Amino acid sequence: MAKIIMDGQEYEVSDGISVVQAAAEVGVTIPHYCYHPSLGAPANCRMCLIELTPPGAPGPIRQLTTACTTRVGDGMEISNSAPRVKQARATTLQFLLAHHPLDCPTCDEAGECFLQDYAYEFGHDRSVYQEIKNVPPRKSLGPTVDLFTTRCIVCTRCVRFTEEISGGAEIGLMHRGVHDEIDVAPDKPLDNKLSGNVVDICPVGALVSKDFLYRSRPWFLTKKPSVCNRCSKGCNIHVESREGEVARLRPRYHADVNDFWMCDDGRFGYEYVNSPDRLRLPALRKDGELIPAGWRELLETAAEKIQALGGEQTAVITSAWMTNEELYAVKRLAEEGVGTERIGLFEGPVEDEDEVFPKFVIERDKNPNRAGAELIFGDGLKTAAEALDGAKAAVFFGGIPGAPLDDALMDRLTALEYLLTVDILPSALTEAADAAAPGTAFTEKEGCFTNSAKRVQRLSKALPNLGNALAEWQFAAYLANALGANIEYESAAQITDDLASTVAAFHGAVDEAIDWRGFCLEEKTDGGEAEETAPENWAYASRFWR
Amino acid sequence: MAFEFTPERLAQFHELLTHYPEEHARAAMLPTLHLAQEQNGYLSQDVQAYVAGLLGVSEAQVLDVVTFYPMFFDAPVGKHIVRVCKTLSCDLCGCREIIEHIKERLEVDFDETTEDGSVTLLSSECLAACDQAPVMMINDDLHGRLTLERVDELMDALE
Amino acid sequence: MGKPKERRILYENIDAPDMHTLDVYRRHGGYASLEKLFDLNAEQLLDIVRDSGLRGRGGAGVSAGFKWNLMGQGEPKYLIANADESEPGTFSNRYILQHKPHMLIEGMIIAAWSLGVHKAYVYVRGEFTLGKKRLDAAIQEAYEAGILGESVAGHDFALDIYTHAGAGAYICGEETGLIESLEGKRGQPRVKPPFFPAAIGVFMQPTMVHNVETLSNLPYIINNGTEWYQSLGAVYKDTPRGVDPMNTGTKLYCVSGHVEKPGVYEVEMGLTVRELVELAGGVRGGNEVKAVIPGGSSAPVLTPYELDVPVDFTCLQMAKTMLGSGGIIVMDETTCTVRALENLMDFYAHESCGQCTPCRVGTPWTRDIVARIEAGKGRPGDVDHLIEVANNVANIDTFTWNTICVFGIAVSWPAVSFARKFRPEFEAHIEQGKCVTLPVSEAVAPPEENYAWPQELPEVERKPTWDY
Ligand SMILES: Cc1cc2nc3c(=O)[nH]c(=O)nc-3n(C[C@H](O)[C@H](O)[C@H](O)COP(=O)(O)O)c2cc1C
Ligand code: SF4
Ligand code: SF4
Ligand code: SF4
Ligand code: FES
Ligand code: FES
Repeated sequence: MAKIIMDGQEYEVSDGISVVQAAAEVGVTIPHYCYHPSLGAPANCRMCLIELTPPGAPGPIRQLTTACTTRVGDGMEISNSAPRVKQARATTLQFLLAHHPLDCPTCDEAGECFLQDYAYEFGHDRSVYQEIKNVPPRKSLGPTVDLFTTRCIVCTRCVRFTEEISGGAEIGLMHRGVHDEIDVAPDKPLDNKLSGNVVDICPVGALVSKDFLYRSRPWFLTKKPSVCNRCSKGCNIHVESREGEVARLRPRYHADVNDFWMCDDGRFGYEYVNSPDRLRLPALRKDGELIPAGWRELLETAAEKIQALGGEQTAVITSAWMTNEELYAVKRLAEEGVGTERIGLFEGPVEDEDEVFPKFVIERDKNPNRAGAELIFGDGLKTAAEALDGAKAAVFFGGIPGAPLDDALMDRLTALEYLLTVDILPSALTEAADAAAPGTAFTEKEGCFTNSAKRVQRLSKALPNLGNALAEWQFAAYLANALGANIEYESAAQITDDLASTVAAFHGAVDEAIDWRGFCLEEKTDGGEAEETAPENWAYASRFWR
Repeated sequence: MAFEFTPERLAQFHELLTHYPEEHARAAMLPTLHLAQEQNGYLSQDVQAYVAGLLGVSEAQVLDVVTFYPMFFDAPVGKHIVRVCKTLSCDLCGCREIIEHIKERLEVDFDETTEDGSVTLLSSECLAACDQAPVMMINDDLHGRLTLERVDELMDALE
Repeated sequence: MGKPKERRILYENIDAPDMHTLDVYRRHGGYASLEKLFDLNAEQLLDIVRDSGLRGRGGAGVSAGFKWNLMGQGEPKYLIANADESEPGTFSNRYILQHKPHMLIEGMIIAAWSLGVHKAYVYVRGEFTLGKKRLDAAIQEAYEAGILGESVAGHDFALDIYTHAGAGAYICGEETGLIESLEGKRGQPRVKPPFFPAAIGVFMQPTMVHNVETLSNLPYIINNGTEWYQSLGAVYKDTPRGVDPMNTGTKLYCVSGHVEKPGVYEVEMGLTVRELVELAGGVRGGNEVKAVIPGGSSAPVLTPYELDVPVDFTCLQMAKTMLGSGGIIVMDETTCTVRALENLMDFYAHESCGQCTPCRVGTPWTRDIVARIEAGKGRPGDVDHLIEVANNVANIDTFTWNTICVFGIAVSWPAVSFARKFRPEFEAHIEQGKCVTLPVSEAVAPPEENYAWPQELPEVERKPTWDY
């Protein structure tokens, strides 16, 4: 720790971090554009200027200093409010705004734009620029990202991102001086799986997501912290929704998981959630046709069928896309309700290799919660095919868009005497089922995924269930009870606690212990609190990452 | 046909690489681009892609350099490059008149190429020959103490 | 006081036929310093360079010894000769490359041996085609003669020198911009701290960057000793040598503009602006001087009231301008100072690397205002507006800048000094709505309004060697 004095007040901050981070740690904003804690610091925007008195110096140094490139040291004194600091920031803003279009009414970034914010907070109240503004056009940088050139403040965050994090260096700064322009080389668009991140790091509305463009003003969005469900990495995200639909997903900082980033598979992989085809009502096959039915009817007929065909002859297929809580409820359904050892795992694709970027890895396992399933079911977990081998009936939990079933499995399932599916989208399988129950997509779930590093991370319910859909854990409990069990859960959190007390691997991972940074099962086993990674970045993120 | 260095230039390129630490092949960027421009006249997209490949950098990183430095051309230029200095010492010594004259004579403005493709006219910042002001460069050669007559002589020699 | 006289040391025999070849260079005493060099160790050499008082000729005038002392310990270390000479009004390096390239090589060997460098680069301005050709040939000759390579002049010391051509960007003269350019990127200066080249330079290794002229002084210092070198240059009355910042040696002054005989004049530091103009044949046609830029286009302009300032590091600094690169641009009574400033601002607007906000936006903004005034579209208050915008890029009064590199102040220095010192002419443009060239006496703001003058300057001792 280092003791610093900022604007006359003494603070303790982590030693050796940048002054921007240190200020964030103690709740002070130093305005900045080009600096980003996970990228190199070129100090080009000149917004973060402070007055610095190095440890032991008799007075402040003559030149103002950039807070982004200055590391704190014990005894350092900083002025974030001296008149000349304010003056410098105001003139920097004046320069930035000189060529900036007055686009705010139509700009996607409005409301979350640092230019808007800082201009309000630190700027002059009038424009003195009377020369001709530079007005270059808007252009496409690649399949996912557009650039409104006029809004760019040439902070080069996007350039550095493609050089340092994603590695392809597709974005460059072209030309020179006032003609500086962000661009890609001809026929070499920004087309990599991390491309969407450049939109997040752009401090103004210059880089925009084609997916999100003009979809909504940011202030109409409801934002919920969650976890990506597209691979076993478990990137922390925010689900931003409007009027019952997902509007966009954006990464949420996590020092040990995804830093400030997420991949485009995850970012743009939510469309299925908004699909108009989503299953909304429970349905039963009557006279060869699936027709909507009530839950009671569905549960009763299911229980009858299963009991008739025999619990041991019934397979319960669970899914690697379900939360820990859902998995645990299904486990209890299988054990206490159905009474079967035929428990199989349905899973999404697993690729041969991880996709590795200089500073990011997209994991090969496209299932968000295989680790949870394996830990919860232990050795009793079979493949779907094994569990179905010789079975007469099945309760099938899907929830994976595209229902990636191979023909063999499909044949096996449709040949059963009784098939009950719990799924979110219609598929050949749900069409063939005897009973089809609507389930929830990850944005509608409460509960946790366990990522490949055994970190239990929480999803929050960003959207209401569709139609009459039931959370899978609730459905599992109801069905189990219809089969004679006695499972009483009122919330997913209750299951979290139950899981923590009954499954050894989850010991300690009670609802209260899982905060928005998750709970690492691995760390817990060697006892004691794990040292927090990069506290300064957490502080930074909570202040500046939106 | 995609651009490639001639064998001699390829050898020169490999010699260039030895000037810099092995892990910094990118340092050979400027000399390599000079070499490529010498061969091709200008740095087409093709050439840039080739250089990017040789140096192990992205095409954006090449374009970024090409557009930063005025001596690199990313579009075709004339057979001769004429650069006329327009900075202060030359201005004090009458370069404006010289420039007007050249523009009229060639019927082009700065950054344009004559219709027959023989001359590209560029303005230049101080060529570090202010003692000979006004000055211009024709291709690699510097010409100072320009007068309208001298300019005409030099231009005649180009045609 | 007689007439000012040249004192050629670096430029001695520069016009001798084939001076650029090894043979002729040697015949004129070239490479003699290598006889002594290898008997001296790094510490002794540091002392010699420090005691000589040699200051960098590239612009900032930092003591060479001071810089050497800061050289980092990491290996490998690099040496770079800055031959990007692009500061308007400066052209002395060009002739060294074209006519005495071996002198630069000799100087580089001395610096390399002193600093423990085995790989050195000469960053040559892209437009210096002949200079590069000559230098390349000289390096080739030096290798063949065993002066460079595995064993320099038969000693257990290896040195390679490579030339590296720029491509027309002024900012690559700034040492960290140069380093970025040498690394194959756009020449955008780095942030100091932490990127002081002596600590973290090219390829992130300790790097010494010197101007060609600075390095070219080294052979003569080694040959003739520090006392000899100290005996050259300005001494102030009543100030013991070594106490004042030193102004030793000769300087290559590049005189251009409205003088009869423009050219490079090598004289001992200490002659006045007036004397240098005289040395260059005086103002053309016997005209009156209107303005003189004393140290390359970035240096604040001097008015006719200020022509008796000695042209050395100390006195020019006291006159709130600088020796800079030693480029002296003389403007006579026919000059429109607004047009002159517009010309310079055009240069800076074109050459700003564009990296940092104040300079990227402020430089063309300044240019636009001046251009407007020159075009007769000036508005009342524009002169103050111009001064404010330029001072917001870098403030010349507080000597602070909000930019990454000192290009920022290189912009506001001329902008603000022209606008203040020639304010009447600027105002006349605005009032009359057209370009008007006022007579000298009316164009210049009166001295008492002049921000730098009058000033108490130290009295420089005249030396017999200065005149004839
Ligand atoms: C905008 C700018 C341009 C410069 N151009 C040159 C140049 O062309 N040649 C040069 O030697 N130094 C130039 N310099 C100074 C260099 O940064 C550096 O100080 C110098 O090369 C150091 O050499 P010295 O110690 O021998 O003076 C420039 C500096 C700035 C800020
Ligand atoms: S597009 Fe955005 S991130 Fe990229 S340089 Fe411009 S302002 Fe910065
Ligand atoms: S890496 Fe995996 S978890 Fe992260 S965003 Fe991509 S798919 Fe989602
Ligand atoms: S001051 Fe100008 S030249 Fe220097 S880094 Fe900033 S933009 Fe570039
Ligand atoms: S954030 Fe420090 S200069 Fe941009
Ligand atoms: S101003 Fe033209 S060569 Fe210097």
